[in-house]
Amino acid sequence: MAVSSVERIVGKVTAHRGERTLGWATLVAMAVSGVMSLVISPPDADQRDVARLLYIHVPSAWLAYLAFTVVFVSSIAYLRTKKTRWDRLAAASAEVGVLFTALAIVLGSIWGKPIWGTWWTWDPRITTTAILLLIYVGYLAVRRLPDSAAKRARWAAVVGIVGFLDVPIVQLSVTWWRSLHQGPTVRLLGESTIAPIMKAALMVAVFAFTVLYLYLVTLRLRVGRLEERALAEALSPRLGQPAEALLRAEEAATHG
Amino acid sequence: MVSSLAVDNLWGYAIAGYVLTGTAIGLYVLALLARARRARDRALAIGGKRRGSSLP
Repeated sequence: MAVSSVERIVGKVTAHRGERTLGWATLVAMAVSGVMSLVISPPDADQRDVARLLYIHVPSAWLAYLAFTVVFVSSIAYLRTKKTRWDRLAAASAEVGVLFTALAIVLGSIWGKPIWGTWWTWDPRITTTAILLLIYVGYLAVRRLPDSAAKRARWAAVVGIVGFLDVPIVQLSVTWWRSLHQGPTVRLLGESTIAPIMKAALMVAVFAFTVLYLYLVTLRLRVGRLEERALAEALSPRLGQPAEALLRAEEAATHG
Repeated sequence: MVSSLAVDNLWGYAIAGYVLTGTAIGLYVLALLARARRARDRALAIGGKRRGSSLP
């Protein structure tokens, strides 16, 4: 019952009208976040303007966590229901997650050079994040294995569930081990160790990146649907007419 | 700790990060739109060829 409710919500959000709305919402949210981060927020007392990387580095890492959580939940839902839409959602989310994990690492590296004096160090947070990236690059590789679609989806779901174990390890690495990387400055429970204006800019950036995530996943889901229909057209002569009608309806909805 | 030498002018690092992020997201969106178009065109081409009709 819960799974079907989520399916209905995902269906509504990923409809074409939803995709266009999300696209505009993303542009507006990113513009507001850009102004907050680069203009309104003051430079940090110690790190000066390089600390502005906070507003893209932290949201990128948050987005990676969010994306891989969606992969985890979708993978469980796929194994339970065997519905292709869950597999498609997991694939879409994993791809976006890999992009933002890589971005978080590169942005951290750019930040690390002037502050730590090095582009890279084998710090627990950085190392576990690099492992996270490798796990989900592997996940995407599993999705390209030349096997039946059902088997591939099943294997990918298993990797998506097991791979998620690294997410809490990445998050807790700064408290479990001695780390060069700073600990959390914004806490849900307890006092935050960040100026209110910087916290506001960070929250806006996290919100903007979350909307961006929704837009990218929606777009990626449409790509997945279109590629599956193209495959259906190629493999089944009987599917020709309905598939074409669906594609034309989709195109009309997109450009109409 | 942060050295005073290192924090004199750090806008360059911040701008590099923002440009990189914008470029990566922009390229990914363009790649997705191109993939969607290719898949749609392929499906239409296969469907059209099978029915012996020309593509619009």
